[in-house]
Order: sequence, then structure tokens, then C-alpha cells
Amino acid sequence: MLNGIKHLWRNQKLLLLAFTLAAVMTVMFAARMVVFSFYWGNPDHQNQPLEGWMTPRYVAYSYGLEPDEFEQILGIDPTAVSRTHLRDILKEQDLTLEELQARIDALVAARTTE
Amino acid sequence: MTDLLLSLVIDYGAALLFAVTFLSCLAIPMPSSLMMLAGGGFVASGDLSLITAAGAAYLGAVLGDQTGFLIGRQAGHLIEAKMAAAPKRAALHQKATDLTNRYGGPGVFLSRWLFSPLGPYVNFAGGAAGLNWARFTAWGAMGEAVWVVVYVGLGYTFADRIVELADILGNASGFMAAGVITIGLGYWLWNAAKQAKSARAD
Repeated sequence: MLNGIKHLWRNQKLLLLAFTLAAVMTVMFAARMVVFSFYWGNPDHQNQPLEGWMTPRYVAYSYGLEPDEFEQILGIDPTAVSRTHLRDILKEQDLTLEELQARIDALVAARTTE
Repeated sequence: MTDLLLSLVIDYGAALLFAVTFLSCLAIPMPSSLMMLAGGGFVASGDLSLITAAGAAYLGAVLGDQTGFLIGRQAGHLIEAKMAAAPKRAALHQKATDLTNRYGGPGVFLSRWLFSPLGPYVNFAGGAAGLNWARFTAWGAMGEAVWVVVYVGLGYTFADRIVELADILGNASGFMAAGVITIGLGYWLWNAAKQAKSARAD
């Protein structure tokens, strides 16, 4: 076995190096897969918090809010606006992401206790 | 960075998906997985239309494949012209062409979606090795359809988890591509070692 590797090192250096590199990368990707599955398996990491890029429709959809529920919170009918970023709407209304997040969380929490 | 990319998908929609899939077929690093997942997510929320988003991604991918194949074909003609002068090498090139045509089709298909990081290189190599154009196009178009349906479909289904999905799928396709290269090189090494052993035994 060792002799074989020595022989390959002498005659097929490039091939052996390429193989080793590919094997190391495969193992690295496998390890990352394990780490990711632990990270995303944790329920604390599963809820995607509000971000500036999101659109009203996207927020309503991912939090399971009806259009009128969303309108109560932000004063905007999400079905009436398309492809508008949350950050622009919040700037107009002088609100922060955290404030909006608190309102949505409160609404979702109230609904689950009903 | 993710924030900016997702904002761009919303602002430019289908045109951006077309450009991203087109360029990614030419080995230009593009976050095409994340963007197609995002496209699917915004179809689910009602911000984008399914036909234009999926259609643009598909059209970009198929045209990108064709462009990569043509670039490879041009390079292949140069190689052929040089080799024509040396009969032995010309025979070797013919052997490569025959081999590519025998196994190339399914290879093109799988490198569109299952081993997608290898896709652009298969386009160049297929063109250079003289893979039949109709065969390349048919298998490629089928493979791209799988790629677009899987990514846009997953984005649509798990719209509220697109960032997480992009992480997982990006990693999984890296694992598949590195794995298949490792197996291929391992097989090559194995044969080299076997040949060396029998040469020493003689």
C-alpha cells in the first residue's frame, strides 16, 4: 500500500494531488452539511425575522397574515402593492423593523392563544 | 450581501433571473441557486409571476449552455487543426469524440442539476470534444428544466425559508460535485496503480 502510494507520488504526482484535494473538499462539504442540519434543526433559528428587502406580500405570506390583518398593522393593503421593499415603507412611516416585528409577533401570539 | 441579492430579485425580477442563469452557465460565479429560490418565494407571495420568473431562468440557462458549447466548439476546431498534422494525436482526438458521444448525453443531463457546479465545464468540454449538437441540446434542455423546476419549486414551497434553503442546497451541490470528481480521479489513480504493478511484474 505504502509502496503503491510512493510509486504514484513519483509518477502521477499531479493526479494524486488532485485526488487528495477533491477528497478533502468532499469531506469539508459533508462536515458543513452536518453543521447546517444542526443549526437549522434548532427551532430558534427557523423563523426568518423581518428584513428590509422583504415586500409586504412576502411578509404577509410568510407570517400567514390575511391582507386585512396586515393592513391593521401597517396601514397598507399588501395585495395593492407589488415589489416594494419594507425598508422604503418603514422610512415613509418613520417606523423601525423592530417595531413592526413586535406588532406582528403580538398579533401572531394573540391568535395562537385564542 | 444576501440582503442586496434578494432586493435585486424583487427590483429586476425576470430580467435578473435570465442574466444570472445565463452567466452561471459560462462558469462566471453567480448566486443562481439563491436567486432562483428567491424567485420561487416571490412567486408564492404574489410579487412575481410564475411563467415569467421560471421562463426567464430557463431561457437564460438554455442560451447560456448553447453559448458555452459554441465557445468550446471553436476551441475544439483549433485543436483539431493542430492535430490533423499528427495522425497519432488525431486518432486520440477521434477516440475522445467517440467516447463523449457515447456517454456525453446523460453526463450533460446530470451536470445541469445534480452536479450543477460542473455544468459550465461540461458545456466547454462537450463543445471542444465534438459532442453532437442535437444530443447536447436535447439532454441539456431536459436537465435545465429539472434544475429550474426543483429550485423555483423549492423556493415556492418553502418561501419563508429561502435563505436557509440556499445554504443547504449550495452545500449539497458542492458535496455532490466534489464527490463525483473524487470518485473519477480515484478510479483513474486505481487504474494507474494497477498498470504500474503489472508493468513491474513483467
